[in-house]
Amino acid sequence: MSGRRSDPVIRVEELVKEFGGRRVLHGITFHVRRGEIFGLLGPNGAGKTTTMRILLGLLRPTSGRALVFGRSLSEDSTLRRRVGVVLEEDGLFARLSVHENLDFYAMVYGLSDKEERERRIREVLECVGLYDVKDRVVGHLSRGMRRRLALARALVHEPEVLFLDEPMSGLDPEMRVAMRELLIRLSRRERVTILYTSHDLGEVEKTCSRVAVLMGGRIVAQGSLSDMLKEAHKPLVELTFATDEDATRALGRLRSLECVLECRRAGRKVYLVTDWDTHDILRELVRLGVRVEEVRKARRTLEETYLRLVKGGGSR
Amino acid sequence: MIGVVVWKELRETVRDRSALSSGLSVLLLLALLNVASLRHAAINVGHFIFYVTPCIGLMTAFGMSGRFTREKRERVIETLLATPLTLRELWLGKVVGLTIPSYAITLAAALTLMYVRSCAMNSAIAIYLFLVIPALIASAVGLLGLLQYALGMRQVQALNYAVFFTLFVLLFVTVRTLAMDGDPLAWEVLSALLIISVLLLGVAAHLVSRLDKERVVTTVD
Repeated sequence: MSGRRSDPVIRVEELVKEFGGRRVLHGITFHVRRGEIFGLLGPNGAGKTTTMRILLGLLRPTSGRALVFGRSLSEDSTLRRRVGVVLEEDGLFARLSVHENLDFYAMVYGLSDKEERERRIREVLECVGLYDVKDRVVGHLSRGMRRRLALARALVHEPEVLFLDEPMSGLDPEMRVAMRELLIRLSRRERVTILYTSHDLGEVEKTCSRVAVLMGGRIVAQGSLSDMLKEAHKPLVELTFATDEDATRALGRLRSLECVLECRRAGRKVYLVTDWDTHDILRELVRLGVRVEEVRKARRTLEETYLRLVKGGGSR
Repeated sequence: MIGVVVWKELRETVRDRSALSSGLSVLLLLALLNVASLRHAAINVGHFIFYVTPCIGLMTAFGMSGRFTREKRERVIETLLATPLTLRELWLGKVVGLTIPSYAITLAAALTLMYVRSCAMNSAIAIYLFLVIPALIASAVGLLGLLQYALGMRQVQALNYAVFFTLFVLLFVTVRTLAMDGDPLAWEVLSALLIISVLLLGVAAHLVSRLDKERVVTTVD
C-alpha cells in the first residue's frame, strides 16, 4: 500500500474541470480517511458525478489533483483492483444471468481461482439477498434488485475503497436500511473507505460520518455531520414588530451586532440566528425604542441548513 | 483479460435473439440468392464465393458491432472502464468475441453453398475462407467499434445508415457479377485483401490505444 496508514485514502486538491470552456468544478478540495464514509451532497448538476468520474480516471481534470492511495487511477490501472464502483447506471449486462455478471467482473478484477470466485459470489449475493435469483437473467430483474446486484458487483473483489454514486436509488425502505447497515459494517469492521454521493440528505445523514456540500461546482460546506447538526440546532428567533418602521429600524441595529450570525426580514417579522441569549437581544431592541409584539424560538432542521447552504444562505 | 471479454461477448451472443435472427436472415438471403442464380445457366461459383461470402461476413459483422454502441448508450462502458480493463483490452476482446460468431455464420453459409453447388475445395478457396474472410470481418468489426467508441450517438446513427446503404449497394453489384467468367480467387488478390484487412485492423488497434476515455464517456448524449 502506498503512503502511511494515516494518509488520506482519497485526496482531491483544487480540482477544476471545464467542458468546452464551461467550468463545472471550481477548485474543490477534500480528503477521505481510511474507513470513513464521506458523503458528497448536493442537488443535481452540482458536480458530484463529475468529481467521482475524475477520481475514477474516466475524465481528465483541467487542473488540480484527484488521487486514490496517492496516485491517479487514470495513470495506474492496477490500482483499480483495489476499488469498487457503483455508478448512476448499474453497469450490468442485461442478457447475462446474475451469476454470470458477477463471474465476469470477478475475473476482470483478478479473481482467477474458480473456487475462490464462487465463494465470493455466494457471499456477496447472500449479503444483498439475491442468492435465490442467481440464475435469473439480469434484464428480468426489478430496478431495486439490479441496484443490489450492482453493489454486490462492487464488493465481489473485496475492495479497499468504494465509490458509490446514488447507490440507494430505486431501493425499497427495507433494503435501504439493510444496505446502509452493510456499508457502515464495511467501514467499521473492514475499514473500507467509502465515497458516497447523494442528493438525499436523510440518507447521507444516516450513513456518512463527514460530508461536503457541493453547489454549482463549489464546496459550500464541509465537515462532520455533528458540526452541521450543531449549526442546524442553533435557535432561530422569530421577532414580530408592531410596525414596518419598527422592523426596519430593528433590522438595521441587529445587522450591526457581532453576535447576530444571520438575519433576514419578511414584512413585520425578522428572523435571526444568534449566539446571544434572546433576553439580551430583546434588551437591545427595547433600548432602541422599537415595539416587539411577539417572540418565538424555533430550531432549524438539518434539511433547512442544507437548503440554506445550496441556495446561497441567508444574508446578514 | 481479453479472454474474459471474449467469453462474455460469446455468452451475450448466444442469448441475443436479435443476433441469432440476423444470422438466420443472412442465411435466408443466401438461399434466395442461390435460387435466383439458378436461372443463370453459366453461374460462376468462384465469383459467388469471392463476392457473396464477404458480403455475408460484413453484414453479420455490422449487425454484431451494434454491441459497442449498446454498452456505450446504456453507460455500461463507464463501469467497465473503471475496472482494471484498459480501453484497448476491452475493444480487442469485443472484436474477437464478435468476429467469432460473425465468421461462424459466414463460413457455414459459404460451406453450405459449396456443398449445394458441388464445388470442390482448393487451396485458394481454403486461404480465402480460412484466412482472408476472418481478417476482413475482424477489421470491419474493429473499425466499426473504434468509430462507435469515438463518435457521438447521432454520428453513430448516421454512420450506421451509411454502412447499411453501402452494403446494400455492394450486394446489388455483387449479384450482377455472378455470371461473369474468370477466376477472381487469384493469389495476388487474396494477398492484397489479407494485407489490407490486417493493416486496417492494426490501424484501428493503434487508434483505440490513443483514444481518450473522456471522449468515450462524454460522447454518449
